Amino acid sequence: MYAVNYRSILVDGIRIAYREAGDSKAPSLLLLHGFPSAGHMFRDLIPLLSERFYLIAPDMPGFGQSDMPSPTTFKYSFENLARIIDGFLDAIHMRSYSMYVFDYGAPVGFRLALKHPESIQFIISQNGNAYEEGLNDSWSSLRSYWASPTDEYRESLRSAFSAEAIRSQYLQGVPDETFVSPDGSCLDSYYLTRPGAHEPQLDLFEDYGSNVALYPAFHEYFRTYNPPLLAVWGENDPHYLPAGAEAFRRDLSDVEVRFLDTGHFALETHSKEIADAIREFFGAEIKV
Amino acid sequence: MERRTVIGVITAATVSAFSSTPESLFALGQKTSAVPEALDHFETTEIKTKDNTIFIRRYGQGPPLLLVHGFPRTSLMWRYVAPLLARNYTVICVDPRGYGRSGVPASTEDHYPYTKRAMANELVDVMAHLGFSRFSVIGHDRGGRVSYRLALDHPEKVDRLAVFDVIPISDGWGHADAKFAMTYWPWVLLSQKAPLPESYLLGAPGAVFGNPFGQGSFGPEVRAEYTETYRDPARVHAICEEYRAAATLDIEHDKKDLQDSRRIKSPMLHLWAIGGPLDSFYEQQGGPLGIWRKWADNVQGQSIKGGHFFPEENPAETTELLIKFLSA
Repeated sequence: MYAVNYRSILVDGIRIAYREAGDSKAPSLLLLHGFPSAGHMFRDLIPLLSERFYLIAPDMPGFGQSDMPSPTTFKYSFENLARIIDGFLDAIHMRSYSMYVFDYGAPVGFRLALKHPESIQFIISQNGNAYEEGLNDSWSSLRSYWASPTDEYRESLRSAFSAEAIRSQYLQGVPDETFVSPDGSCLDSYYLTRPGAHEPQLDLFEDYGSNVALYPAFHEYFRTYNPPLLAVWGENDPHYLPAGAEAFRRDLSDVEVRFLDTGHFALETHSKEIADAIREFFGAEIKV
Repeated sequence: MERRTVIGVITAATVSAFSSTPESLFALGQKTSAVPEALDHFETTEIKTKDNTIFIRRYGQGPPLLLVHGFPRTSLMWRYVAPLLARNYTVICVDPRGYGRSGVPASTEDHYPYTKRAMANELVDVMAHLGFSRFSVIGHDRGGRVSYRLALDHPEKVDRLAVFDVIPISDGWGHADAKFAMTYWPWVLLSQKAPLPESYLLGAPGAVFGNPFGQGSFGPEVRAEYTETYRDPARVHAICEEYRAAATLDIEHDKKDLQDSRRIKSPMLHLWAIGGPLDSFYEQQGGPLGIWRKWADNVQGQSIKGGHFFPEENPAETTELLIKFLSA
């Protein structure tokens, strides 16, 4: 097993923290986290894969250990998150890689693919949605909000930042809660209690509609470049439905779908199953 | 280039020195007298596929290139080109099944395991193991045939395709005449029923290196490494099986593609030897580029000095043309 290095690098004046593990000559795998988490969500997965892959897990701006520039100087949009991650990949000279996308990681990762389609090798989507049918009815009030944003609704979204709300995100859809470590949700809560942490997240809630608007562009990229894709999906995710995993088949010919009996944060309960699925997806081990 | 460095370029295990270095290697568009030492460095790896083990030499970092050698060579034939490409690319030089240091899976009566299709499929698996689902492919001779088959069968995997000094198999046989048979002797000799060609090759393993489709300016160490393949009965049989497949199933695969209008989608570069057979045999068909345009939408190319083995004999110009094509 390789040690994990905790590094950071400046991208456009923003310090981006990242975890790095594995041999840089092994297949590069970019791990893109979701809301309200950070690279720490991959803490169980990284040791399971570091013999086989070169792993890079950045914290996006406003998340985890990365800088959280003020919204007055940095616009918290998915376009901007993708732009900074793109600059980050340039800075660490990562120009040919596979990606693991989860939640927010999906619209960020697929934006990277639109910009540099030739760089993307394999895609692993773990509850990383790109289809309308992957969004359940609970998104309808958010959809109205995107259409006509109101301050009142924006304020109501702050409830998502309470420790209880975050913990419940981790537990929903998990058959046996004793498998869910408190570490992930507590860290997420900690980062969200930092002064000024809420506004960036509220801006991103408001901007999430830009992701849905880009779905047709993502599909066009899928059809044109046909990257092999593994959808490994917590099937009890209250936000992203299993139909969103199946939908990849519509635009891609090389798709493998695996459902896991767990929730949104599938890595909390199934890191081993997910690691095995990823290794199999790339083929057997390399002998040296 | 210092002797020490050159040794590193060749191979870790069997080769101890190297005597002849083409002058042209020293002049790749700039005054530096050699490839920086760091880029000479390569790693060898054996990759397990479904029923086989494939040997690769890996150079550099960057977007992935797959380099596929031909007959009667091994991945060692890229020893000058690969370090030059390594400045900007991850360069994977592979021994296809049967050749060099890769495994030798059993063949079947219809020779399918040694069709270019089976060989190409295996290389797709190899690249997947290495983390690459999209790459550019560069193939010389038999490797050129594996490469164009890979581009036809796996269009979404191939960014760019470069094929050196060959035309498609069905065109080769399709225009075959006495001149063809006299020139391209491996096609007609090695495709004969076993064990005739096997016996000839094994009886005189060094003989293949004494004619235009074998000879090179390499020294005794490289020759020894190349000749090793032709001392091994299993490898010799595999290579003959590859030629038998080229006289049967490979032609059918080509014809099916023409029938179905399946074409090479990626940009394609073809280079061929000045004064070689491709320079004059196919004038009526518009030369080798005219033939390739039947198969590919976007073909460019030119002839190049150095004989059939120009990647070994004229690596600087080969690399220059390749980089121009790959980075356009």
